[in-house]
Amino acid sequence: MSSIDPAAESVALPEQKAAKPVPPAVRIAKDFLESSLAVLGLAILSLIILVAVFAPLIAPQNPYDLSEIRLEDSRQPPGSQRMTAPWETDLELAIDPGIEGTTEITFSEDAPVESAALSWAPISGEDAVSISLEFTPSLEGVSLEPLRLDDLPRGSELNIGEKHSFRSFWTVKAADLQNFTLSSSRALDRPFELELAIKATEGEALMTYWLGTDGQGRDMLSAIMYGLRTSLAVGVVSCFFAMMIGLSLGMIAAFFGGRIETVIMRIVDLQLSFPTILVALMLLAILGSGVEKVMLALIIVQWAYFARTARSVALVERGKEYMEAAQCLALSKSRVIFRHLLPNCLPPIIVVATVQVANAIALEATLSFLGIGLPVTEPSLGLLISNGFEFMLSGRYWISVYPGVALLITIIAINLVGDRLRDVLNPRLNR
Amino acid sequence: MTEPIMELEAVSKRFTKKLDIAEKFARRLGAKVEEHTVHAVDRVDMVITPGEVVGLVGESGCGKSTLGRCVAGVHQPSEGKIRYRGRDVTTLRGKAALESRLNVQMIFQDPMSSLNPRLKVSQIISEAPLFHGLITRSEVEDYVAMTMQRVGLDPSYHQRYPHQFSGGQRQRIGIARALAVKPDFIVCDEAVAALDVSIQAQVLNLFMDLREDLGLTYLFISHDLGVVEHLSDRVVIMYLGRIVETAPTDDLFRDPNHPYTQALLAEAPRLETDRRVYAPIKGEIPSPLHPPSGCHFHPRCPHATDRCRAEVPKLKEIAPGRVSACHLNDG
Repeated sequence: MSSIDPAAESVALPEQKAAKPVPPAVRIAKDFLESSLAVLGLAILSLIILVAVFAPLIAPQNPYDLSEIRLEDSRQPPGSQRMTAPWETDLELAIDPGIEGTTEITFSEDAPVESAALSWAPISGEDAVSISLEFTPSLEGVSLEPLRLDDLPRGSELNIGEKHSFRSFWTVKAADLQNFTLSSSRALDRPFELELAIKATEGEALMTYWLGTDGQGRDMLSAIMYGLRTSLAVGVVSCFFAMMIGLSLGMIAAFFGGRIETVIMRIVDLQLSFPTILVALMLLAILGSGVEKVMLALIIVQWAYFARTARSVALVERGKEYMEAAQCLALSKSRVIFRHLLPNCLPPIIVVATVQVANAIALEATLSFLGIGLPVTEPSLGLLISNGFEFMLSGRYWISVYPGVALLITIIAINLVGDRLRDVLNPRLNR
Repeated sequence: MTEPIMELEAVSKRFTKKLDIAEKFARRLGAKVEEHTVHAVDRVDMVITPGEVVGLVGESGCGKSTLGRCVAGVHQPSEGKIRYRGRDVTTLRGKAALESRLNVQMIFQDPMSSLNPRLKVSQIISEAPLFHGLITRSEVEDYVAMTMQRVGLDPSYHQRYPHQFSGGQRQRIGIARALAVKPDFIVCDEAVAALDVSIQAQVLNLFMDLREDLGLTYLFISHDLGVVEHLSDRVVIMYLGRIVETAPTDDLFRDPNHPYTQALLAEAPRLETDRRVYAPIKGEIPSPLHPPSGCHFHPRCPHATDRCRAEVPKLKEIAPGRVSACHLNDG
């Protein structure tokens, strides 16, 4: 069919340059990495996303599990520790004053001492017993409440410690227990049992509340990790659906024009003329609260931004000659829309999407702060801020401030990435 | 005379800006608001025979691109008939319509925007033939390579994106895309206007080679008289939506009949170094929203008479194969 020599023709062309083919994705990634601020934003964002995704694995506590939360740990300042219940035990010291004897007492495993040796010997000629109680290892390292010795036989007294002014127990020091004497004004002829109550002042440290605890005794760090999870999920999911709806409607408006366009775009105008927070508030007032209802409200509030952007971009792309070429080649409408129009509309939409995710997170936080978003048992960042708000004036800043900082960092990181994406994907700066 | 490949009969294309609600309301209240209508193409007749290269020349905004798009099927004409090989394309349905549409292809002015930046060259070229079942998936590679070679592109570049090519190469890709559906009629809309002069020559030569190899017919739209003179068998001059003169290229350049053609040719830059005084055509091209009465050219014509202001001149044969629309020809 052809008589020209194609090889000769192509060799003779000086216009052809020998550049290596670079896929657009690689080029965009390279451009993106040129800005150190955006890289920082991306790094922070990736970290935040990782933390949010793996929160159940890395969080010190599950803040949604009410059995893990102790009310007595509420409102602890940052750096305070969660303790186990202090060690506590009552020892029965059975003594037969008639003979000399020894008894071994063993303790359970969680006690700071392993065993105690009780030995006693009657003092001849007197109604008295010399008693010794030695702990292995000694109790010296353990901080204890004052020890109480009770159930002394009638009329007897100790040569150590002090008797309570009107009650029956004696308060003694642990060191004195190694050698003391019980003497009685009556005859000591029957076996008796002394009761020694030992109570440690504090338990062992289980975990540190690095960022303090909130009003319910929830670890703030864990709560923030789980809150990020909720906030990001709500933001991303609602944005995704808003984008789908907005993109389709915007492209339909631009592609078909006429009455369809008018109807869609007037709805968009109407939607955008209301303050978003007002619309979301009204919707939640009607729908009630809950994660899926917050998402629904966010989708309804946000789709209009995507629709408007999609339409404007699609109008520009539709005017370009490659769309006419596609028409000339008699391609089907759906093919023209999805293969030619849609991919070329995406870059600005991606930019809008990143910014809108940040907006959605902020809006969800606002709604939760106002108390109509998510349930108290599964707090998002906004709810955490709201929970701590009442404690701000009493100096317990950490309940509100740390979730606020987390929210701030998240939104700034997303915006840094979004800004850079806008620069990178702007076709006027490229090509 | 052979059967014409393309026949236009009184083709008009109007663009109307509809009134919005506020304007409709204002008109109801008595304000003088009217719909804006642009007569981009106004009752154009044209006959193109197979193998011919017809140059369509005119100033910017005279409707030549719109006419080209009507012929290529991008725009539907508001009135009139377009016949491809004797059949009216606007009334064709189904397979015949598809065939006539694919047989008439268009090459665009801007090689930047006429290629989808998201598709690779092989996808751009193979999309339509695949879609219409002209080739199968297994033949794509060979077909793309063959088409690329035909337009003078190295087939090893088929995995590249349009932005990785120069302007001339991109225009070749556009040509390859059009050729891929095996057309026999090609509308070139200012196809070389955006290229460097050296590249222009290469692309023009490519057009001429393709014409010989594939037996193509061209409607070559341009404002560049030099290009048209080099390429065309016949030249059609348009002014403000109407054809003012049609003539074989040599005759037209030797002896232009219509005052507008004369003015155009007089102003065309030449290589001769003699001193020339350029006398530009007076005034601007009138707005197609409010075209002048009578002959559209009369406000700028040095020979205008009262008749020109009142009566629309008809295209009349002034010599064999030559028509011109000027009252001066009536003597």
